[in-house]
Amino acid sequence: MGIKQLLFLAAIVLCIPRVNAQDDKFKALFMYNFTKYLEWPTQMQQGNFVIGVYGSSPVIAELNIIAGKRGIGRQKLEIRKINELAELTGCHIVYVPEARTDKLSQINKVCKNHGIVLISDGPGLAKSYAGLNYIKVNGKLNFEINRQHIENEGIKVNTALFSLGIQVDQ
Amino acid sequence: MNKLLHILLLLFIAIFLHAQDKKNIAQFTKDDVLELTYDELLEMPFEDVIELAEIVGVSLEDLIEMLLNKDVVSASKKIETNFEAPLSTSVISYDEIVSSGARSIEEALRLVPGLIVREKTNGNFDIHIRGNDNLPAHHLFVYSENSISLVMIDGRPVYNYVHGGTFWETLPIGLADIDRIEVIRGPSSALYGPNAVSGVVNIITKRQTEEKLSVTGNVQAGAQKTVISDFSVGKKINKYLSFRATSNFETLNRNTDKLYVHRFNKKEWGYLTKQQLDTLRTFSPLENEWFNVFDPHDDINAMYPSPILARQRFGANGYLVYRPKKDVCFDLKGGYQYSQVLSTTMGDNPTSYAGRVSNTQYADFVAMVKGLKVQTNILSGWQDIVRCDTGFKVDILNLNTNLEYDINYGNLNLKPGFAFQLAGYNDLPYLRRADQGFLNGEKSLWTTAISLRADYLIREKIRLIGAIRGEGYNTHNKMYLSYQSVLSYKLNNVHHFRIVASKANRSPFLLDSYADFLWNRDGRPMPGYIQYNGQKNIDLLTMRTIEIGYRIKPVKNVQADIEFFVSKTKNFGALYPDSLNLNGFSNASGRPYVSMLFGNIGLESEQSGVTYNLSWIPDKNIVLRFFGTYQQTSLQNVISFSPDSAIVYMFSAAMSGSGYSTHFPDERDQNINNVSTPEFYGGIVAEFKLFNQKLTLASNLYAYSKHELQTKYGQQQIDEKFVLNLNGSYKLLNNKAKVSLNIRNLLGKKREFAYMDEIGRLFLLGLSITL
Repeated sequence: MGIKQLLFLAAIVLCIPRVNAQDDKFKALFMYNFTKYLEWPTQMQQGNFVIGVYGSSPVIAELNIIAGKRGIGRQKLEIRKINELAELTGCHIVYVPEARTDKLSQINKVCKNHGIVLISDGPGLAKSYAGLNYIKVNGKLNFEINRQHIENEGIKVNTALFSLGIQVDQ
Repeated sequence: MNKLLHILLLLFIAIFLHAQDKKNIAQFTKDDVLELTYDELLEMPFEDVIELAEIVGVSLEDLIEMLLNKDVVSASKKIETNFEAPLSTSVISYDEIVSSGARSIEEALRLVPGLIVREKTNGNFDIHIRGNDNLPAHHLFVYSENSISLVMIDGRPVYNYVHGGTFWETLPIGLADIDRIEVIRGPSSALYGPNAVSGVVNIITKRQTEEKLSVTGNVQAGAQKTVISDFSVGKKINKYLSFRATSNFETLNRNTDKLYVHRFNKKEWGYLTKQQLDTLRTFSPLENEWFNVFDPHDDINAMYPSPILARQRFGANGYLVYRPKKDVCFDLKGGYQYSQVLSTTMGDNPTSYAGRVSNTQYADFVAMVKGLKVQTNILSGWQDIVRCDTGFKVDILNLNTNLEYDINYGNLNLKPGFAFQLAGYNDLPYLRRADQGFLNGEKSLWTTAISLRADYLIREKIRLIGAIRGEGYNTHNKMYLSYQSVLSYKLNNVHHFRIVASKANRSPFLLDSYADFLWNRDGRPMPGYIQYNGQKNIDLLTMRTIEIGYRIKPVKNVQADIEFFVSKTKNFGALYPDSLNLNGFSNASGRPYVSMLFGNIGLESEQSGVTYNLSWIPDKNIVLRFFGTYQQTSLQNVISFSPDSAIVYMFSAAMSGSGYSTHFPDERDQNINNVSTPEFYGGIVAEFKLFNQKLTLASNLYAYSKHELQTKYGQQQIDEKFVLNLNGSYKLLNNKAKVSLNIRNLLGKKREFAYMDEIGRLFLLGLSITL
């Protein structure tokens, strides 16, 4: 690789924009708020309330701040970084960041029938696997809901949530 | 009682405070939101958090994503990102168009990869997707028109079915109407019907999203008496109903009032004034009489009322959208346009120029109810395609209806469809005598089509798409099938591959099918009469293409697209002489008579090429884009002589025989390079925002390599050209006003299209107001 190509690559790398932390903060806040509209089966209302995040994501840091301040009902909020598929069981919510959505179908297979709400981050993903999915509408954060996917896990959904997001399984 | 009063008072205060609180959230600025602590945010109801997320708005990362990777609907008839689109697509947004200083939709297409855009006269453009220009060569200018690309406004075809192509000036909309322009390169008849052969330009109009009354006005004025303006007003009346109304007006002059006169009677006439044209007379040794280069009835003043005027148009449009539910929407549009331009002639005139006047109105209705989409539209009015030349003025009535239904089975989407089209034209009201026109009455093309598109997603990565469409025409006994099959693979968010095989065909046209025109060439050189005949059931032009495409997004702010394509086109058709009778069409006439018949000519074209596009956003205030296409087109079975030469050949044959000849010269050339499509065309777009984004400096360079236009009148080389445009704009009055300086074609005067104007520098000043 010549000097010019190296300089070009360096320029590209240097120009990677700073990730806007506000987005991650609001994704974490949305996640916390989702729990107010969802009711897990009684056996899952004991112990810690676990939000697993698949792979690295700045959302983990934001969720940890919330976990330090609030719980979910009477449950203590615990944030887990998931590295292996086997670690998914035991979570109440699994968040799959945009960069890892290529693993969504495998994650879904493991999570299925374990009372887990799968939250993904990318256009159209609530239609395929996720119960909740972050999307951008005109560049602004919003979310899609697939009621069927959530209720199949034995989790009840408060209908008020439908008026706040975009239901995709009607 | 006191207790009750207290409770009521407390309730009132609580409601008041709650109302105040709500009001405060709505009034929050981005900075206010950023100052909120986690504790405050966690206390808030979810609906308020959502509202705050909206106030924080678009992150830098998203902004870059939006600039780099816009949404596109035309490739799959559903919203998807350009990165994932299964076809070769490009999108340019309204903001990009306005920043670039483009004066019109046509000029904005110079920002799109894979398009050849040449300016004929000020503001009037010749536009081709990928190429296949000027086929067959050595013929009328009408064969240099692009009849193999489909232009649509929100899915409504705006196509000229008289002889194919798009009269761009007749689009009723201006820049104020546009949300974005989507371009598909490659055959797309399976999705959009006939004529989407080399690709599709789908212009998507704006939707009113603001609840308050929004009013905008833009005007640019400057050299060559240019005035380009548009106005729009819109309001979202309630949650379900919104409206917009727009108007546009423009007038542009040429930089000369002279008209090119072809070589005639062994003399190069070149560019002449209208007065010189009118008096131009020469002597025909053959017919031993004086004649004018025009027909005796031609009135030069009516044909060229103002040769300095390049383009003048006015349009008005109304939009009404009613969306009672998320999956139910009714969309009604209507509008009117009047236009006149001076551009290349569609007839066989002594000059390369002709006027074209259009006066049309349209209505377009789209109903979407759950998975069902019904679109129906009508266009009516008149067009004088070669201004004041007998036979070219027609009344138009075009009707289109499309029905499509979305069926989803898990990851499989099926879209069956039905389409009906009527293209009706009538020249009778404008004829002095009922047999003087090309059509001599009302003639129509009826098209009915059924289609099915299947789109299957496997493991979020692999997408298989198959689309097929069968079409029947009232002029043809057999059905035409077009298809598109796609295999795309999204490895991850960085790499996307696709392979596309597709076939598309052109529709029949009115003149090809129905022409019945006897041209009495009284007062003109031989032959004395030329009869033009159309015929039905000729094989329709068909293109087959294979494309391999790859998109890469190595980092968040860089995206590169590259597409390799090979296409084969056959069944070209054209008018050529099929018989010549020295004794005339009846022996009594005594003047040579030639019959010209529209038919297939055996010409085939094979094009291969590569198109690249690299977008780089080094900073939120800088956008850079580099794009280009390299292509080669090889032609087989080429008729390398003009129809006039064929007439001369047949004349000789008739002279040496019985006075009658049907002997068309049979020489054909093989492996000829199509010199009319430049080997390279492309450009660079750069946009810089300064002073807190108040000042925008945009520059775009569009270039093509040397090529040549071969007509029946001669051939002219088009030298390579670098079209450099600069536009600077500054926002004032709290972004409610904007002033601009726009310099088009900074590098100076050069001809972009054979026998047309030398396009030079143009300075414009602009003002925009938004209320």
